Amino acid sequence: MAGSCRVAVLFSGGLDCSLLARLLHDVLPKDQEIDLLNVAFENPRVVHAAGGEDSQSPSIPRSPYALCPDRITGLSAHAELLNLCPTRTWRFVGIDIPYSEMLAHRTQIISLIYPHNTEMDLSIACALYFAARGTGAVIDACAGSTSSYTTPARVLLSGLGADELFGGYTRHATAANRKGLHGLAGELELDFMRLGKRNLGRDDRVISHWGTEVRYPYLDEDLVAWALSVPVWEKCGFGLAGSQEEGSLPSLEPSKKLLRLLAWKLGFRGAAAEKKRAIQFGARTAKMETGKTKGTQTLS
Amino acid sequence: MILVLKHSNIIQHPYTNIPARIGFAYCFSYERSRCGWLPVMCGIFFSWSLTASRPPSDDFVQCLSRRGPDSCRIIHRSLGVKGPERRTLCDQREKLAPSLDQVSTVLSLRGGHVVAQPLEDSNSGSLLSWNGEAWKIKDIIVQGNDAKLIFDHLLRAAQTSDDSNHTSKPSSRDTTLRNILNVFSWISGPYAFVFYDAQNDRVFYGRDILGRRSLLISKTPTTSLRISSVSAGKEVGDWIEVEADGIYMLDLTSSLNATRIPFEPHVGNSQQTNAVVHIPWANTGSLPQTLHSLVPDLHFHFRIHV
Repeated sequence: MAGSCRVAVLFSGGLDCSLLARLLHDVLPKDQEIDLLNVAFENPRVVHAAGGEDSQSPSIPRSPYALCPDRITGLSAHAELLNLCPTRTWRFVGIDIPYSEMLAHRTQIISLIYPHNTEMDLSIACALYFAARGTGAVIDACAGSTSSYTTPARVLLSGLGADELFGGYTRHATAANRKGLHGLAGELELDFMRLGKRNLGRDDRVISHWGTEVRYPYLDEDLVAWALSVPVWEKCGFGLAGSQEEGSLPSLEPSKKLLRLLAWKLGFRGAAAEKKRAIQFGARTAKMETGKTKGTQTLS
Repeated sequence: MILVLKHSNIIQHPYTNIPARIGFAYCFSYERSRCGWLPVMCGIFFSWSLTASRPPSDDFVQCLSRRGPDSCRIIHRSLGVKGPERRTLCDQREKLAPSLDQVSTVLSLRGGHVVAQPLEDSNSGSLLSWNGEAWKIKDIIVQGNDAKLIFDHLLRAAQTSDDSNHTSKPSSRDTTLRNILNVFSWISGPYAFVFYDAQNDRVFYGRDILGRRSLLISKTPTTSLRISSVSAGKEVGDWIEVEADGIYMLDLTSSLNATRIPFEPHVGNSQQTNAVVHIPWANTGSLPQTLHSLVPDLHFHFRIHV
C-alpha cells in the first residue's frame, strides 16, 4: 500500500506541525501522499493511576494509546486536514509503543543520545526514535480495518523552532509579565541560541539511526533571519495590555499569535487554538516509572 | 528544479492593528535526488594521532553504518615529519608517527549511484567528509551534489599558488585560511563536516550555526584527537559535543610540538602548544538599539574574523 509518499510530518496535531502539514500541501505535487506520524506510548504509571476495570463496562479495554493527549489532537487535526485539503491523501500513522518495547530499546536510545544524559533527554528521544522508525498502524475508514504500516518516507519534517522564534512557551508569558517586552525578547533569544546545544545534536543522532533525515522548516535561515527582525509584539501577544477584540477577529491565545492567525486564515481553526504541549507529555514518554522523576535528573 | 515556497499574508494584529506581514519562505530541495525528497546522509569519523593510528573500532563502524549503510570508506594517511624538525623529533624517546584516519559512511537512495565519501582530491590529497544539505551557497540554490560543490570551493580556497596570473606572490597560509572560512559562511543549510586541507597541513571541523547535525569530539587527553557523528555505546564517557559556535581548526604542523592535544581550544598557556583553534561566527551589522531587537543580528552570510 506504500504509494508515492516521500515526506512525513512529525505530527502531534499541535499548531506548529499542523501549519507545516497545511503548507506542505501547497508545495507538493498533487499526487504525492503525506504521512502524518503520531506517537503514543503505554505509560504504566498513567495506566495504573487510571485504576482498574470500569465497573459499568468491564469488558471494554481501555487503550492507553487512544487516551494520549497527542493522539487525540493528532486525530482531530487529521480530520481537519481531510476537510481543508480533500484532494490530498493524508495518511495518519498511529505509532503505538508498548512499555515492553520501549524497555527493549532503552539502552540503544541512551547510547544514541550520549553525551546528553538526563531523563528529559531520554523521554524526548524515545518519542523521536520510534517516530523516525515510522512503523505503526493505519485505519482504513471505509473497510473499518486497521493494518500495519511503515512509512517509506525518508524525510521527516519537524516543527521544532516555532516556539523559540514566535513565543510558544509558558515561560515566555511569565517573562513578559514580570519583565515586560524587553524581558520577553531576552527569554526568546536565550531559548533560540540554545537550540543546537540542547536539542539538535541529540535529535540528529536519534533520528539518523533509522536512515531518516529530519528537516526543520522553521529553522530555514531566511525565515529565521526574518523572524528575528520582527518586533516581539508582532509575533506573540504576551505582555500587551487588554485587547479590543472585534467581533470578526478570532479570540486566540497570545502564544505564537502570528502563527495562530496564519492557521486561522488558512482555515485551520482547530489547530489555531491548540495549546502548547511538550512531546514528552503529549506522547506520555515522561515519568513512566514514577511521577517524582525530574526531567533534569541524570539517567541512572 | 528547486521548489521555493513564499507564503505571505497580511494579517491585522488585533492588539495593535499593525499589519504584520508574514514571509513564510522555505526551500525544499527537489532536485537533490531526482526522485524528490530522498536524503543523502553521512556518518563521519576522524582520528588524528601523533603516535599510533587509531581507526574506529568495529562497534564504531557499525554505529556509523546505521547512518550510512550504502558505502563505507576508511582512508588512512601517514603524515611524514618534514624538514628540519626531523632530527630533533627522532631523538625523542617516543617515536612520532603522525597519521590520520578519515571515515565516511553514506546512505544514498538515489537508485544505485552512491557518491562515496570522504571525497578525495588526487592532486592535493585533501579529504572532505560532509554530512549536510547545502540548500544555498552565496544565496544561489544548489543543484546537484552539494558535497562535491563544497569540496571544489574548499580546494580552490586552499590553493597556495596562483598560476593563472603568473604573479610572484603566492597566497599566504593566512589568506587561504580566510578563503576557506568564507566558504562556510556562504552555506545555508544543516551540516557537520571534517575537511583535511592537505596542502596546508590543517584539519577543519564544525557544525552549522544552528547546530542541526551532530558532531562529537573525544575528550581523552592523549596524543590523539577524534571526531565522530555518534559515539559507539561501549565508549561512553569519552565524548562531548562539538559546539555549534564556529569553525575549529587543527594545525598539524604546530601540533608536532604538542605534548598533548587538548580537546578544548584555549589560549594563553605557554606550557602547551594550542593545537586546536576556534574561529567563532561573527555578527555583521550593528546591533539594533531599539526595543525591537530580539537578538543580535545573526546574519548567516557573514565575514569570519581571523
